[in-house]
Amino acid sequence: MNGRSLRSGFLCSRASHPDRPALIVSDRTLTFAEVDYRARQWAHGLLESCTHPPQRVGVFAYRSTESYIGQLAALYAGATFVPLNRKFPPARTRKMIQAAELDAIILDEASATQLAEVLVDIDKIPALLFPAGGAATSLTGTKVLDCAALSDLTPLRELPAVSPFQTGYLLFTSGSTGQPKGVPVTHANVLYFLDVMAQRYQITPEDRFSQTFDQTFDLSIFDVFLAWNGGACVCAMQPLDLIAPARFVANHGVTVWFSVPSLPALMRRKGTLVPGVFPTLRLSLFCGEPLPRQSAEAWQTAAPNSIVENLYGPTELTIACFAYRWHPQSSPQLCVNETVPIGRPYEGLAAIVVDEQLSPVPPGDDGELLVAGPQTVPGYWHDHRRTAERFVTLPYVEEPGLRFYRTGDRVRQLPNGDYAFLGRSDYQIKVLGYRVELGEIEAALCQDDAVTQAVALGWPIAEGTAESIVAFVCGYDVNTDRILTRVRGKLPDYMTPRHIYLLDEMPLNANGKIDRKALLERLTRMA
Amino acid sequence: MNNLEKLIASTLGVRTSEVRDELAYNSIPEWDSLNHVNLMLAIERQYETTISEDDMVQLITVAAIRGFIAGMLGERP
Repeated sequence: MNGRSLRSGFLCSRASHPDRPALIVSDRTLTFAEVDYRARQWAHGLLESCTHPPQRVGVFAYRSTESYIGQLAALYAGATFVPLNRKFPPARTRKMIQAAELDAIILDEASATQLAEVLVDIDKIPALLFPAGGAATSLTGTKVLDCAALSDLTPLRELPAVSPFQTGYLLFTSGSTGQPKGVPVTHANVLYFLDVMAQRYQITPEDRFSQTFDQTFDLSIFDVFLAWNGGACVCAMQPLDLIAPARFVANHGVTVWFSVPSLPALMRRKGTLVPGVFPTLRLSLFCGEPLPRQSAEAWQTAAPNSIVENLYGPTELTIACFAYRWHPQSSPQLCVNETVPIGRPYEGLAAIVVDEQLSPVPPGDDGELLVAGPQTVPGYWHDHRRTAERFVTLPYVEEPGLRFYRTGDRVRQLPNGDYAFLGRSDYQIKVLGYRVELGEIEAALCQDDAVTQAVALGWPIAEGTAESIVAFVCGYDVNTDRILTRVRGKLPDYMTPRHIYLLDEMPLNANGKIDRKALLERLTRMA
Repeated sequence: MNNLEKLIASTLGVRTSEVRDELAYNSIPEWDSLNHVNLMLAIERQYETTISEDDMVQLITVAAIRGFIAGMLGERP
C-alpha cells in the first residue's frame, strides 16, 4: 500500500488537475483546488477543536458541499469519517453518535436544525463545526467553530500520517436485534476495491459521475472516491433529480451511472426508459438489490454506448466484490428467476458456496456464499460475538487462517462459472436497495407495551425487491397510530411500516413457528 | 377537485384530510420517489394525459398538481 490512504487519489488529482471540476452540488461547481482548500481549512478546524487528534468525525450533512468535503476533511485530519443522515430519526442518529464515540461532527445548515434533539442525553458532546452556518450559539461544554471561525483558519499544510490498516470510514447497517451494526472499513480494504475499479473501468478526468446514493450507503464511496481518484467530477443528485434521471444525466453530461436497480424499474414503470435516452453514458452499474432481466435489457437499449454491469457485495466486503457484464445476446439465457447473474468475484478474492455445516456444496448446488480476501473488513464495531459468528475460518481451505465473511446470501454457481443470486437465508431484505433487518423493525414494534407479537414483511414485492414494509401485530388494546408514531421516531422512512394490521393471533406452521408465508398469502389476497 | 384529493390520498396511502395544497414530494415518508411515479401514473390514467420528466419535477406539490390539471381541463385551479 506504500502509505496510501483513501485521500491519496484526491491529492494526486488535485496536484495534476487543480482547475478541473471536482464537485457539482445544485448549481455550484467546485474545482479540485477549491475542494482541497476547504477540506484543509476544516481539517485544521478539527485539529484545533479536539483536545487530542480526532479519531472519528461524524459528517452530519445531506447531499451538500459539506457532506462531500466533510468526508475529505476528516481524512485530511487523519480521522475516520462516520456519515450521518438527517433523514434518519434523531434518536437513531444519537445512537450512532454514541456508538461511534465521535470526537467531532461537521454539519450542514439543514442538519444543524436537528442538533438539539440529536444531542439530548449524549454523555460527551463532540466538537461541532458549521462551515455553512447554522451554529448553535447556546451550546456549552464543547468546542464550536462557526463558518466565520473556519474561514479564518489557514489551510492545513502537512496532513497527519495515516496507516492503511486504520479505519477509513465507519458505517452503520440495520441490526437484527434492534441496534444498528457498525462496520469499520479500513483504508486498505477500500483502496483494494478502488484499484480494482480503476483497472476495470479506466476512469479519466473527462468522466462525470452520477451520485445517487445517500452517503450513509457505502455505494456512495464508489461515486465520490473513484471519481476523484481518476480526476473526474462528482455530480450530486438531489431528491428531485432522482425522479427525473434522464434530465439530470443530459444536463450534466454524466458518463458514469451507478444506482440501485429500483431506479431503472421506476423509469420503466413511468415509460421514460426509452431507447437512446442516455447517449452520454459509457458505464452503467447497478448494485444493492437483484437486477431484473427486463431492466438490464431496457437500460442497454436506453444507453447504447454504455457498458452495463450488475455488481454485488455486502458492506462487510467493502462496497462490491462481484461483477457481471451484460451481453445483450447471451445474458438473457443466463438469468435465473428473471434476475441478472452477479458474475464472478474480483481478482484476489476467494468465494465458496457452503451448506449449513459450512461444508462446500457440489458445483451447481445452492448454498450460502462466503467470500475472503483483501476487501473483508476486520469485523463489527465493538461486537466480538457477532464478528465471531459472521467471520469464520474454514479448516479445509489451503491458506490457513483465511477469514471468510458469511454473506447470508443463497447463490448457485452456473455451468459457465458465473454466480446467480437466489435470495436470503434469514430475515434480511432489501427495500429500494436499502438493507433492512426485519428483526430490527419487529423489535421496535414490540417496544409498545400493548404488542405481544409482531411480524414485519417486505411488501409489495416487485421484481424481487420490496417496495416498502408492512407489519402484523397481536396484543391487547393495540393502538396502531400510537405504534406508528413511536416507530417513526426510531427507524428510517424505508424501514417504517406503511400499514400495521392487527390480528387476534399469528398463523403458525407445522413446527409451531409464525408462518410468514401465510401472512404473505394474506397480503396477496388483500391486494 | 374532490376526485383529485381522493386520488392523491389513495396513491400515497394517507388520509384525504392530509392532502392540502402545501403537501409536497419528500415532505412525508409516503411521498417518496416511488410513490411520486405512482402518483404521476395515476394522474395520467385518470385524466388521460402524459406527464414528461420535465413536468414530473414541477408537479411536486398538491397545489402544482391542481394547477396542472385545471390548466389541462381549461378550468380555474
